[in-house]
Order: sequence, then structure tokens, then C-alpha cells
Amino acid sequence: MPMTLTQTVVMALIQIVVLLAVIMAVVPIITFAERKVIGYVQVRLGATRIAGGHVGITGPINRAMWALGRVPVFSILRGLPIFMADGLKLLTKEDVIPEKADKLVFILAPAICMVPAFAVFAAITFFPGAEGLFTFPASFPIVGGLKFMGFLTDINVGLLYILGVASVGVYGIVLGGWASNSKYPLLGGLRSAAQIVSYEVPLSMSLLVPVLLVGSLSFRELSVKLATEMPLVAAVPLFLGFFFYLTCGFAETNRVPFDLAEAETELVSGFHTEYTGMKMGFFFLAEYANMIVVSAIAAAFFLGGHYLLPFGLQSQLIHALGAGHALNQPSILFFVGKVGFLLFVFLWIRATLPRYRYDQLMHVGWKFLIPVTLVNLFIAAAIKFVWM
Amino acid sequence: MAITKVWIEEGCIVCNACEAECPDVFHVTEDSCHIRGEARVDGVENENKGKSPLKDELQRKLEDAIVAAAAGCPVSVIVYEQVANAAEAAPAAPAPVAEAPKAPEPVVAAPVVEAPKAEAPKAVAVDAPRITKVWIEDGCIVCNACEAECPDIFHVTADSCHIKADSRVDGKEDENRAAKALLKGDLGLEQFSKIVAAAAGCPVNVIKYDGTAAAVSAAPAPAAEVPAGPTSWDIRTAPNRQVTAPKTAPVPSFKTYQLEVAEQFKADEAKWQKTQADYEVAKQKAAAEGKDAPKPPVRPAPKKDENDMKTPFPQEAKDADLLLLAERLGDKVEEVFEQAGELVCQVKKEAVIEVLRLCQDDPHLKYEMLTDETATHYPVGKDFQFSVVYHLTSLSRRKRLRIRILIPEGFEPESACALYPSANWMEREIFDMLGIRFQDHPGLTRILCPEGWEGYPLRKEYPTLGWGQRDIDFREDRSGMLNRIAMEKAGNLGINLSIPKAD
Amino acid sequence: MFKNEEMEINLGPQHPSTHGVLRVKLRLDGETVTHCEPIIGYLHRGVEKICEDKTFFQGQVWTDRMDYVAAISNNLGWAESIEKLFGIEVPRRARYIRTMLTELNRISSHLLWLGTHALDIGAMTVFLYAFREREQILDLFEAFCGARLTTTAFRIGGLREDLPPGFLKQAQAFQDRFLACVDEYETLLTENRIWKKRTVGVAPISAEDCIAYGVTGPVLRAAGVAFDIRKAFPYAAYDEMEFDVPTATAADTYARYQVRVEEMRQSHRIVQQCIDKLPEGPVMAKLPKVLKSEVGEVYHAIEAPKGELGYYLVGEKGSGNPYRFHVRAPSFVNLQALPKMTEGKLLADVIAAIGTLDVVLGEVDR
Repeated sequence: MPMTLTQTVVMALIQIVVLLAVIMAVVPIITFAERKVIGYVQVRLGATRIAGGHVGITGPINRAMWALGRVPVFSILRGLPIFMADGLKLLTKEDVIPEKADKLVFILAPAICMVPAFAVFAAITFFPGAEGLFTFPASFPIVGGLKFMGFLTDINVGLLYILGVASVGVYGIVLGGWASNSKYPLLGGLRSAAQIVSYEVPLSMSLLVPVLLVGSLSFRELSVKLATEMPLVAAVPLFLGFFFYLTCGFAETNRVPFDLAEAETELVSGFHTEYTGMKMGFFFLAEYANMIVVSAIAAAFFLGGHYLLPFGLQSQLIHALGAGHALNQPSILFFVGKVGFLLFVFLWIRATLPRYRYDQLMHVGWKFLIPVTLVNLFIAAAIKFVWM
Repeated sequence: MAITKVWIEEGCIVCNACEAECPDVFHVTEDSCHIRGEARVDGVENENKGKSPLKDELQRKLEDAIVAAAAGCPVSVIVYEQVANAAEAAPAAPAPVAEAPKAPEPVVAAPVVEAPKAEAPKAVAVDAPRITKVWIEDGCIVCNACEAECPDIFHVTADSCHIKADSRVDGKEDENRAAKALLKGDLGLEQFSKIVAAAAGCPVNVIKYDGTAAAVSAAPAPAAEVPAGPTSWDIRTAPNRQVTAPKTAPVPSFKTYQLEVAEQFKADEAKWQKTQADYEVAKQKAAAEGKDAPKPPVRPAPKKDENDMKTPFPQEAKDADLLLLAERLGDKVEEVFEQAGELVCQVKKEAVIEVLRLCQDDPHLKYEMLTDETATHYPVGKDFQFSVVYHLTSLSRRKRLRIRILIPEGFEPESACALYPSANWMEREIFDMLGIRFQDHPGLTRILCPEGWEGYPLRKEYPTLGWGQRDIDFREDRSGMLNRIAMEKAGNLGINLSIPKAD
Repeated sequence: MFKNEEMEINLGPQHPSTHGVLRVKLRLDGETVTHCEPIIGYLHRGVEKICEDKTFFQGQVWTDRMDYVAAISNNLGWAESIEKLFGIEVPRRARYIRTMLTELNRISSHLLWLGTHALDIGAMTVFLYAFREREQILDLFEAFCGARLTTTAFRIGGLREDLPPGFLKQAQAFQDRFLACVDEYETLLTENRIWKKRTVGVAPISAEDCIAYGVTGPVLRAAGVAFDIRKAFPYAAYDEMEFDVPTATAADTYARYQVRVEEMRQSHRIVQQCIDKLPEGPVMAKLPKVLKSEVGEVYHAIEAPKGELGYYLVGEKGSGNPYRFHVRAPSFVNLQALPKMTEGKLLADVIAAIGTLDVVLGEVDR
């Protein structure tokens, strides 16, 4: 059923609003999860013990649990007060702009950082099925009877768009560091620029493996075909590529062990040393949004996306059980679960590994990752040539 | 010169001093001191608050005695009127004191002076707080704090604190607990603040004192004098700011220790000889008088020490290293000895680098590491003001050695940095703290104190107490602090809302 | 057209990884350090001067505040140097208890070092694990003397009180689980590739340089010199203890890490021996109420967690105060070697070097 122009615009607006709302809701959940995960790994008391009191929403639960002789509040809610206080602090802090900062750039930098991080989501397919997530009832004005698709748009150069837009984010970091007119942020910004530029190359190279195998740049087509139409040998480059991509993804998002741009023990806080309040909050939002993007791409291209099995092994299952089998149906739950697991890996790594030194980071990027991703690309090309 | 009137102010402590001095005029009763009736014109015997004049014949005769009594009065309640010339004073004598300056007859030139300051401090003394007696209650812990504070009065012995004999009227030296003897002369006035400080500083509060009403009420004076604002508190008057200079220069040395021991032995021997001589005399005397001979004296055994303490005194050098050093260096070594198991080698101040080089290079010594270098200030040293000590460690031979030089003020020893790079910061610290400069040091600047610090903190004349809180003089107002202070003074709550100017 | 400029940067005095108020003036060519100059004195309180004004008894509280993470070691050095000046013999039980507490303190100091050093390098988890065990040791200190950090634990001539009831049981409980905890830290770090990359070959200083700069403690031992004052000049009850002096030859940050971790195990061993062999008897020597010294000077050094902690005392005849009180602080002397270790290296190595020297600024500045 062709859509009118009005319907298209309204539908897009609805999807954008829903998408933004979901991201805005998910980012705080991830930060809370980060507190909880790291809190449990590191025996932190704040995140694992502090609970609500006898009043408020959790008050009745607390009182009931005291009565049972247990530590009150469900485990998942422990640490919530400290998290909420932290968020409140971020919102209410004084907004300081250094005296000699370049004010325009200083204010612009968090936005430059955050907008691309959110814009990237436009090209991500959360559910590839043509039937969509649900259908609006006919009684709805304008959009009645239309399907709510699992993606905002499916442009045919989706991957290119993602890589291009995501790399704009680094300008925010560099400009933020430069505009602060302070030495530590400048060093942090420079490090960040060098790091992201270096890691763009192996990142793209490892993403070229799925592109080569499928022969398309559309996110939706890639994610479906990588899961369902791959020969068994394709699992090898996909498996290797997954780890290379994830490593580069850590570097791209400035996470441990590549968090040199904000290495607090060396550069105080790196590029955002001079930022306070919600401006700093924007940098954080961008970082966590980038984490979701990296996880989503890794989940869609390497871990089988909306299907059960990773690395293209789902096609073997389809061969064995037939396309109609329940295990072979795509589901958004698989996708969300994989993204969630990858996000957990981000936090897990943060709690486990020390930080690389700047020169070592460059060595890893240029001397290790670029050659091995190239080799991986050759393997993929050979597979494409011989088996497909 | 003659004394026309004498009377007693409030506050007599019935000490009998005046009666001892001048019994013709003063008579001390149970509760106060009276001017005798036979010395007065009106013939009544009381404190003479009515200021009845003295009898004419006594005015000149007893002048010196009365002045002495008034000066000796511990609480300065004896007041008198004195005229320059008795004959001329006669007509002016009845004139009341207050009218004296207004007397219209300058020809007579007989102003009635009430205790001129230059001669005696009586007029002042009446108001000034003054301590009359000091005694020590039971429970002294022999902490020496009082003697450090006021050495003229207190003397801390092995088991208690005594009031010194030469500060007391009765001339005995003990706690003064029972006798409560008076302090001599003006000691109570001169040492007032020191006694009060000593009493306040006594950790067990056993120092008690009595004095004029002003003295007792003025006891917490140091605290009461401090006004509210910290900036206006003149800290120079604070007691800790005044430094008590050390009296000795305690440089341990085997030679001086030997001398001391020999002297002590000699003194003991002399005492013993004297005791024996006394005994012989007493024996002969007793024999001459036909009495029983007195008991022969027993030489006192050395005090038995029940403590687990064996003070390590300097001992003769027996260690091979010290003997080797002494042999190699000859007259460059001033002294070698051992104390508490530590090897000490004192050398000529000019030769210290040579000695250190020998210690480092010699295969029999091999002191590879300069562990510590420090200095001490001896303000009363005879021909030196500082000692610089080098603690060397031999890692391979597990030995330690102390090299010491004694240097006068202004002498610049050679730096050990070339031999031991570790001396760099240590010598900077010595320079910073004691002001000793080292020749050829690569960068002799202050290290712990700021560049512009005045004085050298570890010298003995440097006080422990600081100058208190001050306003800091910012060279440039980058932090906006001056602006802020100005606003605060203007009553603007101290919140700086203006944007600081860029420089 | 392009200028080749060096950037001057102040690391500290307020900086997350300078462990206090150390200021290091760095000149950077890119990220390479061309010049490094530690500037100290921000925490100078004049402890030496103040102690000249205090009696021998009163000085101890000031030693607490020098190396505040190893206050008991400082207390021990202070008490023993005064005992040496007076020739006081300390009862055996007191010496054992002193040894036990000092070794527990060494463990807690090393734990703090391990945590902060790992945190500097970016491994955050070890920090919290190390603090978990350190809390237990501080609880033991609290049980012994009521204070956790500034302990003022000893008295001249022994101890003020014997161990409180239940102390040995609590200490044994700590002993029983501590070795497993050390293994846990090692699983996180020892074979960790990134940890090794950040520490192996970083901030090296040879044994010759160590000796020349007076560097002592684990840094010297990691350079292959088995010099430990506990063995070389035994004090307290160390002559009755069995323990090894761990050394390494690599003389880099990783070697110092290994040496310190092994030292924790050895300290654990010493504590165990103290608990097992603790003799009965008094804990305080018989002393006069007031100590008045003779003319004398002593230099007494102990093996503090950071290195050789020496006290130099001059006594004046008949005086209850030290005439001169000087502290040879290990951190102060060790810090001299920082430029030697970092010049020509990268900025991140300066952080590792400061961490591996294990300086406490309260002790550097005194």
C-alpha cells in the first residue's frame, strides 16, 4: 500500500520520537548497569548496598524485607539512590566556562559530539522483517493501518553513512579539548584525534569482510544475508573479524583499555577536564550512545543479528531444519539480547584491564590490527571467490 | 629628706617583713600591719588610713628604715610621703597630697612627692600584679617544664621541684609547701609573667602561688589579652615566640666524656677526703672531750639503678674501620670513638671530601652509599656553630659509619654531590633548614620552604610559633581574591559576581 | 613554517596520580619527557623543629603524620631510636608485638601502593580488592590502639598495653585468608598482557644508580641488591624470624611489582611466626618517670615499607627534649631518582614511575 507524503512524514516523525525516547531511556539504564556490574566485580559498597529507606516507592518493599530479616530492597534496586543523586548532580551543577576558552566552540563541542552519535541510529535496523514490529489500528488518524517498521530508514549505503557520521564525533572531542585552552584537555583531544584516525582504518577494514561477503551496503540486507546465506567457511573471517571489530570499537568509543583521551591518572580527565554539568553529561551520553552503536553493528553483522546463531552459522541450521522451523525465525529479542551482552562486555573489560600507553596503542593499531584485518579481508575474498 | 607620713594600704599579707626592718614604726598584728601609736602624732595605733604624720624626731631618723621596709614589702602596701628637706617641708607637711602640685608657692619649692619612680617602684607596685609566694604541691612529675620557663625560681631535682634558695626570704631550698616562705625582693614582680606561665604550663598543676589581688586575678592574663580578631593579635608577645637559647653544645665526644668522668671522679674523691678529714677532726674532738667516737663515714655506694636502662656513653674506638681511618688520615682525623654501637669519626672540616672519597674507594672500607646527611646548630659551641654529619652505609659489608665535621658560621664545606649524588637534596635541605652553604653544589636552592622564606627554621634562635594569620599579598589578583576581600569589606557578602578580567 | 616547541606542563600539585601534593615540572616534546623536575615542600610542617620543642614522649604523634600510610613503622623507628639513645632494653614480648604490628603495617602499606599504582595504570579493580584487605588490617590496628591511621602505637620502652583479648584470633582470621587474596591480585595483574606492556622495562634504574642516589627499599631490591635492614642490622624481633628477602634483577616497574607482592607474602610469614611464637611476659621496660638524656647522638634506621627510615637524634645532658631530631625519610631520598628514571620516556611512564617509587608526600616534606 503506497503511503502519502503526509503519512510518510508523520510516520518518520513518530519513529524518530520513539527511537530517541528509547535511546534516552537506555543510556541511563546502561550507566546504572555499569555501576551495578562494576560494583559487583569490584566489591563496591555504594552500588551494591545503598538502598532506599523506609519511605518512598520502595518503602513498603523495604519494610517487608526488614520484617523478614533480610537486607531490604531487591538486589537490582540497590545502588539506585546513589545513581539518581549522581544524575541530579550532573543536571544541577554550575555551568563553568573557562575565562580564556573559545566560548562558541566550547559550547558547540558537546553538541558536535552528541548529534552524530544519535544520528547514526537512523540507519540501524533493529528488526529486519517486512511485517514490522506492530501495525497501527485503523482508528488512528493519518497513520491508521500502517506498519511500524523495525528501522527508521534503510538506505542502500547505510554502512557508509554510519561510518561517515560516526567519525564526525571525533571533532567534538578535539574541538572540546582545544577550546578549553588548557594543557591537559589539549593533550587529551590530540590523543583522541590520533587514536580515532588510526583506528578508523582497521575498523573499516574489518567491516569490509561482511560487505564483501554479501555485496551490499544496506544495513538491513547485510544483517539478514550474513545470518542466512553464508557458507560454513565464512564463519572463519566473520569470527576473526568480530574480535578485530570489537577491539577497534573499544578504541573508537574511548573505552578501557583505550581510554587514553580521558586517562584520569595522566590527564586529569582528558578532553573534558574543563567541562561541568550537563555539557559533560553530553559527552557521556555520546559515549554511551556510541557504545550502543558499536554493539548493534557487531551484533548485526557478526553475531547473527536477529537470528539465533552467530557468525553465519544460522544458514547451516536453516539447511538442517528448514526455514519454517521455530528456531530459524528472526526475533528482536535475539538482537536486543546480543546488544545487551556486548554492552556487558564493555563493562566487564573496563573492570578487568589496565590502560595502554599512548605509543603502545598506536603500535596495536598500525602494526597489528591493520595487517591482520587485511589478511582477514583476503580470506573473505577467497571465500567469496571459491565458495559463493 | 624626710618621711612625713606612712600608712598601710589594703592587702597586707601579715608577713612581718616590715616589722623586722623597722620595728619602731611597724607592728604586725594578727590580721594587718599597724603604724605604732608612739611613732605618730595622733598616738593611735592602726593602719593610719587617716594619714596622720609621723612624729618630727622620727621623720629623719627612721627614713632609711621605712624606705627599706616599703621596698621589702612583698605586696607593696606600705606607702609614705617624702619631702626633700624636712625643715622646708614642715610648713607644707600638712598639705594634702592632691593639692601639692597646685601649691602656689614655688619659692618654697617643697612639692610633696609620692614615692618618686626613680627611687623606688612603690607607686607602680601598688597596682602591678605581684607574686608573693610560690610553692609546689604534692605530685610533681619532674618534667622540667617550670625550670625551662623560669629558671630563677624553680629548680627541678631528681624527685621533685624546689623553689630556689636564693629566691626565698628564708633561704632554704625545698618545695616551700609547709613554710610558704616569701619570695625575695622584687622577684615576684620581675618574674611575674614567667611564674604564671610556669604554673599554667605545669602538666599536673602543682605549682601554686599567692600574691596581690591583682596578681591572682591577672593569672589568666595572656588569654584575656587576646582580642577577638586574629590579625590584631600581636603574636610576638606570645610566650612560645620567645626562644630559650640552649646553654650547652651537646656534641658527643669521647675526649670530653673522659674529661667529665675524670672531673667527676676527682670531685667525688675530694668530697670523700673531706668527709674523712671531717671525721678525723670530729674523732679527735670527741676523744678530747672524752665522748664516744662518732661513727666512721661510709663511702656512698653508686646509686642502684632499677631501670632497664643502660645509657650508652662514648667508648674508645676498637672497630677496625675507625682504626684504619685514623691510621690513613693521620692528623686529619680529630677524633674516633664508638657510641651505642655506632662508629663516629670526626674529621677536619676542610678534609671531609677526602675522607668521604677514601671511605667510598678503599677496598677495606667500601662505604658505597651516603644514606643521610644532616646538620645541627650549636649556638653556644666554642669555635663552631654547626656540626654536619654524613651517615655512610656499606651495603656489601653491612656496616654504618658516621663522619662528622664541626664548622663555624659562614664556613662553606665542599659538597658531596660529586661523590654521592644522593647528597644533592640532602644538602639543599640543610641549606634550607640551617643556612649552611655548600661549595660546588649544582643547585643550592631552598627545597622545602618557599623561595622567599626568611630565616632558617632549624636554627635554635628560630621560634616554633608562627606569626599567626595574615592577609596574603597577592602579586597579581588572578584569583579575584583581592577584589573579593574588597567587596567583603564593603559589605557585599563576599560573593564575587563580576567576571574577572583577563590579563 | 612549523615551530618545534616544547610544552611545559605541571603534573600536580593537585593531580589525581601524584599521590598527594607532589608537583613535577615536565617539559614535553609531544608526549616524550625531555626534562623532569620534582618540586616538593607543599606539605612541609616542620616536624623536626616541632619535635625539638616536645619531650621524647610527645614526639611520637608527629611521626604518625609523616608516612601516614605506614604510621606504625614510623612509631617503631621513633621508639627504637630513643631506646638506643637511652640504652633501654625492651621486653621480648613487646618486641614480638611490635614486629607483628609493623609487618601488618607493611602489608597494608604495600596494599595501598598496589591499589593506587594499578589504578594509575588503569586497572581499577585491584584498587578496591586491595582496600578490602587493608580495611581488615586497619580494624586490627583499631582493636590494638583505637586508631586506624595515626596510630601512636608504641611507647618508649615497650607498649602501653598488652594485646587486647581476641586480637590474635582476629589476626589469625586475617592470616588465613590473606594469601588467597594475594593470589587474586596476581591473577588480575601478573600475567596480564597490558599490565606487562605498561610495566616491563618502564622506569628502569640500575643498581649502581640506586646506590648513588641513596635509593633503598623495594626499588633497590628490584635492582638485584639484597639489602634489607631487617636482615643487615636486625632490630625489634627480626633476628628471631625466618623470612626471605625477595629480589629481582630487571630493575623495572614490573620487577618492583613482583618484589613488593612477594614482600607481602614474606610479611605474612613473619606475622604468622609472631602469632605462633609470641612469648609471655611484661610489655613495658622499667623506666624512670621522666627521661633525661645524656650527651649522645644516634642514628637508627628501620626497614619501612618505602625503604630505609632513619632517625637521627642528638641528646642534651639533663634535657627531656631531643636537641636535634632529624628524619631520613625514604620517600624523600627515593624521589631524587625520579628524573633519572623518567627523562626520555613518555608522559604515561612518569605516572608509572611515581607510582612505583611509592612516595608519600607527608614523609617527603615532613
